[in-house]
Amino acid sequence: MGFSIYIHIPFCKTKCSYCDFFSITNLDKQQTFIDTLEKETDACANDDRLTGKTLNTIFFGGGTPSLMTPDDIYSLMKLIIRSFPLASHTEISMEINPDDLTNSKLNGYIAAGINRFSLGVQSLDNSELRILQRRHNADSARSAINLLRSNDVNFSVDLIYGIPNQSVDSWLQTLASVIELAPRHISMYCLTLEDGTRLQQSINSGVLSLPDDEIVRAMYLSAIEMLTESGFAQYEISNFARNGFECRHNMAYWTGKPYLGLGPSSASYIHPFRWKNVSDIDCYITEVNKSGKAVSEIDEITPDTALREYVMLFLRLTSGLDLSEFENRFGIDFISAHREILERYYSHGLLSYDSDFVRLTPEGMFVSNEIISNLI
Amino acid sequence: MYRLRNFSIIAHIDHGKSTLADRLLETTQTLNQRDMHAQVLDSMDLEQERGITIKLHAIRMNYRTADGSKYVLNLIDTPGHVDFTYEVSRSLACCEGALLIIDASQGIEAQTISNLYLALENDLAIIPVVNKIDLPHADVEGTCEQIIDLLGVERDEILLVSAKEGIGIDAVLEAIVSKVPPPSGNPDAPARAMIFDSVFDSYRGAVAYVRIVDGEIRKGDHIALYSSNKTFEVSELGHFRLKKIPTDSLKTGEVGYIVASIKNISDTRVGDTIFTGKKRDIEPLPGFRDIKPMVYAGIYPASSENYEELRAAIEKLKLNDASLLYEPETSEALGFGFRCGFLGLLHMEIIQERLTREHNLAIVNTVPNVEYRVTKSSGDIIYVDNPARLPAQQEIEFIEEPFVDAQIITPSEFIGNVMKLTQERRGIYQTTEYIDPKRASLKYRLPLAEIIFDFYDKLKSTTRGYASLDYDIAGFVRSDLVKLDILINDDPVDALSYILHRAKAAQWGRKLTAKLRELIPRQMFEVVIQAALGSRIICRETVRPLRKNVTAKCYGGDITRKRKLLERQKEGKKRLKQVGNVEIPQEAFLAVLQIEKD
Repeated sequence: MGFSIYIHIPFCKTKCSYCDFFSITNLDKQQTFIDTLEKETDACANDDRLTGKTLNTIFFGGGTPSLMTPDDIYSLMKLIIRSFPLASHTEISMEINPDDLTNSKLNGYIAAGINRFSLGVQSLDNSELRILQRRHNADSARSAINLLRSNDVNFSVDLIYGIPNQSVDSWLQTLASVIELAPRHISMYCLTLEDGTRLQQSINSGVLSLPDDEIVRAMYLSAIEMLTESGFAQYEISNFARNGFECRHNMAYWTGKPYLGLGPSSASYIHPFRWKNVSDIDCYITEVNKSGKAVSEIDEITPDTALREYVMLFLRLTSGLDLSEFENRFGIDFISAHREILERYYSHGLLSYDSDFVRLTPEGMFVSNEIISNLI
Repeated sequence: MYRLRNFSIIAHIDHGKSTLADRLLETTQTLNQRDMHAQVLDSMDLEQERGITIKLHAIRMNYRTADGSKYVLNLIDTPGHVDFTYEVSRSLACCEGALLIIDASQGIEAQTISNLYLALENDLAIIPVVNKIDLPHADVEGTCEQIIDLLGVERDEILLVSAKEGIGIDAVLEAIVSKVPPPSGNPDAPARAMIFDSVFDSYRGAVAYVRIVDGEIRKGDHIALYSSNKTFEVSELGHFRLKKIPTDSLKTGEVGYIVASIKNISDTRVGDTIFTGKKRDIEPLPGFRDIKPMVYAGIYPASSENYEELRAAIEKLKLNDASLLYEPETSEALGFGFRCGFLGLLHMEIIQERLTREHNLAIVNTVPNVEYRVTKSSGDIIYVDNPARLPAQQEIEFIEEPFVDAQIITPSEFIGNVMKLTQERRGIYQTTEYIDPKRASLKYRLPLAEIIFDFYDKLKSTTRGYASLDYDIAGFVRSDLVKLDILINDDPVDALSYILHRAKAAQWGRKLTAKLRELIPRQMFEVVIQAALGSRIICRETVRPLRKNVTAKCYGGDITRKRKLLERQKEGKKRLKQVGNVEIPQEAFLAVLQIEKD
């Protein structure tokens, strides 16, 4: 069985108001970081749990990976390929910011091996983009998409809904315009208030307010309808793709496949361990230079935890939880263990189940935390 | 016999009862400095936390007077809360005298006066003691004047003491000897003894704490209990020192304990008479009352699989608490649990706390209520201690509820406030008497149901803490009572039913449903909360359905973070009780109590 690699590029020119992923806006340390990242990659190559395994997917995330030059990406790719054999169709994704993209840069990334781009559009409404404190505007987002299209490269568009002051109409307008620009994959994330973000402060102090739950729910359900009608199939709570263009990297997370995280704050999973790197650039640099790694937390996945993860992850997927696979793995008949709860949710149209699968309906997905917390 | 003195201490909380008791024990060398824990008599944690004495204790001291005579002094301690008035009166009945302790910096408090009345009813000699005379803001003369007004004593009969500093302790001991009469009683008659307390010992069974009134009880004697006719053989008896000290016999007037393989604490009822000889020759000691719970409430395990654990825990508490009554009951909403009877709300809270704290159980407690007497159309009379068991309206001829005769002692400036409060509580005014120019005793007849929750707290706050309350059950009185049912999504939740006066039903229904709306979390569907009288819905609230509860983005590959979030959410559900389709938090079952506090 192969595995995946996630590489966290922790730099941003500016920090978006809602984001709580680890990133820093001081770009001076980029070169040191790249040197360190190469050291960490080298060190992992010697991990005998990975030796000889093929690499199915690679994902450059952040932060803002498009702050890296194509040369940086190229040398990193070389290093990875030297250590791990690539599968025949390795998916190599990179998150990009509309502002950073030029034709030559894009061609450089393609030449370095990137074959899937994930463009952080978020909205095509400038006032909404300002609330999110994004660097780009609607126009630069459109031109970035056009650039990707003219190069005939596979790309996905990231969108956010549930933004303060956003209406169902303005959201559906953004979505319709994006669909027209013909990406093969769309992720739409409900805006989540994370602790310590500027957006949370604005909400708490009353400067901004989030749309009512009913409105956000209407945004979600009508978006699913629009996307489905436009030929996008939903395959996860927040992800939609044309047939065959599902993000294999994210699928690896959701189906319990092994992955290696590189860079600060990245997460890794090689059964039975999950671990996480430190979320601090200096600490990351020091530790990797000392020992080749910078792990801050390790969790051993007990059978009990594995079961909970399984329920939690597979119920995110529209394909649902495979009952016979579940019983094979855990020796538990999921339906009889939870019959009463399942029947209750079924009667409220929140999930469906038959002898093979349990699946959440779109309505169920939007309250999936409540449902899953009753099933784990 | 005349070298024996039995006495008690009457004091308001914090006026120094425990400290003075400690000094007496120290001075009589009943315990030495090494044994000395501050405030020996109040030994239970809960008591110390709440600043009250719940269980009674007694201790025996040897005292040699200034002129060299030897005396035995028995101090019988009393609990200090309105829930335990009967127990206080039985303890006092075992004494011939009482120290009345007044804090020189506080003056006489109303609750002290009502306990003083109990002592006077039992013909006790009162020794007034002004304590804390060392405090800079002590008003010794003012306090003495209050005492003179109240008791009609001479100034020089009042003892001035600082228990903390050890000032005046000898004078207290001398006064106990000279002022408290020796026990009277016939040493040659068949034995009679009054039980003033009992404890359960897992090796020896129920141990009765007694005062011998007549005759003598010896090891090996066959004793009988007047109320139950049960007989036992005395295997051990003795005196109270720091530990229990066995002796061969307890003689007339003495205070001690009796062990007689009594398996059940309910057989050693406070106030009951222990005797030897034939029952027909015996006059029972006056004042005995069967313990009758004042309030009832359901106690259920939060999670039904803990039912057996809960049963074991309640049984264990019951071993040491004869006043706790319980029997199994089932609720449609809460499953299997127990209906428990308590002496009062404080007693209920103590049991609740012990179950959670000492037995580590998560419990759901339903709203407490009194017992109703229902006359059915058929003429049958039934007693209802659980509103859910009230017969249907058409089967009821009428309902009676327990009333109490209440005595409220208050500074006269607060009489208006007290009257307003009692009126709100359906009180029927009886009389007002002035105890002294500044203080009045008001008598009311009140429905017990109106005073069990927060009446005492409200009374305190409306009189800036100065009023006292005492009450005695007066009997059942017919009232216009109705049962308020709570329906959740059209299903009545039996554990939330409540019996109250018709005039109050509408307002209560509104407050209760509004409170429940606050307490019940959003569910997957709309939750409709209705209050109903019979088939008539009187008000309605809704909890809007949960519409959004999703982690849209799975935090990159950080599955652990997401998993922990969900596990916390699951953990939060433990305080929810599944009732039909709806998850109701434990505290919702006590929502009525919260309304009263608002």
